[in-house]
Amino acid sequence: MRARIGAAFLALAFSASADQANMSVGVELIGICKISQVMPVDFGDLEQSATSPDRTAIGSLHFWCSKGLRYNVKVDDGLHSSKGTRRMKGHAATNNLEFLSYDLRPRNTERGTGLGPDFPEVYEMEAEVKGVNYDPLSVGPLRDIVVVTISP
Amino acid sequence: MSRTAAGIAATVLASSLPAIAAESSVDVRANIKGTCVIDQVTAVEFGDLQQGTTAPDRTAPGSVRYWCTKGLAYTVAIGTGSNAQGEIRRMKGVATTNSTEYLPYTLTSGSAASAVGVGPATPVTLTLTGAVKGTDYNVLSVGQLKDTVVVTIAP
Repeated sequence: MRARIGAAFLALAFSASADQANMSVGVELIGICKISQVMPVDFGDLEQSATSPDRTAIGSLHFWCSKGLRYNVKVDDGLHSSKGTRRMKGHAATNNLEFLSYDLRPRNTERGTGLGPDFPEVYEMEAEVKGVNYDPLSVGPLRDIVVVTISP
Repeated sequence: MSRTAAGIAATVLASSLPAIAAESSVDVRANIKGTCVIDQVTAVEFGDLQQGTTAPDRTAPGSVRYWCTKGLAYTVAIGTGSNAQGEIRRMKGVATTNSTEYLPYTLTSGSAASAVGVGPATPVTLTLTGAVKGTDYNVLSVGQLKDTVVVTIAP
């Protein structure tokens, strides 16, 4: 009986054979841009005077894009633009019908190639208001919201 | 596959790779500060007061020109001066001949004590009228008298 079982195992061992195949391993890295931090464009207090000066303020975004991914930065005209001019709008009872126009320009290039999440980049914007524009305005805060898109 | 064909295939593959844009709102904000500015002061100057048996009461105009930010509510306060006795304003002698003497006067304002600003392009003039009585200056020594009154335009 033992001899029979042993023979059967032997037969099995002799009949086994190896095989191999190529198995592909793949992954696709999604190109992505992410904004991690936003600093508003804040002019602070604008003080009127007989010769109110023009004032500038800088805002910025910290972002990163996947390494090697080309991107463009686009800034829209904001919520209250008129005929291509960006404007802040008063949002107090004293000034909610008033607008303050401003210029907004990039301080660095609006296109580039991503460096990956370990190397965040900064996109800065410089805004300017003219003294002659805020001189006739009423007391109170003004605000606008622009949308910045960083698109591959 | 030829080299060109392989190149095209690679390009198509690359451009079809999924990519995700980032978008964020950025606040743009400012605040028109409420301020009041006095830009011109004309002193209340009585000039020479000449004593006599019937020295007349005298008046003298003065003014303060100012503006406040449009929409800003403010009040006007006129101090009682540096030499007041109670509520009575007084000029004080500033010469050796009269340094211990005082001349009472009144100061009246021709404007409201509170208002709302209309902006720097439209300044407002606060008119003041000083008045002294002949009977008060008739007894004084020769020399100059002076007082300083603080006018405050406050939001």
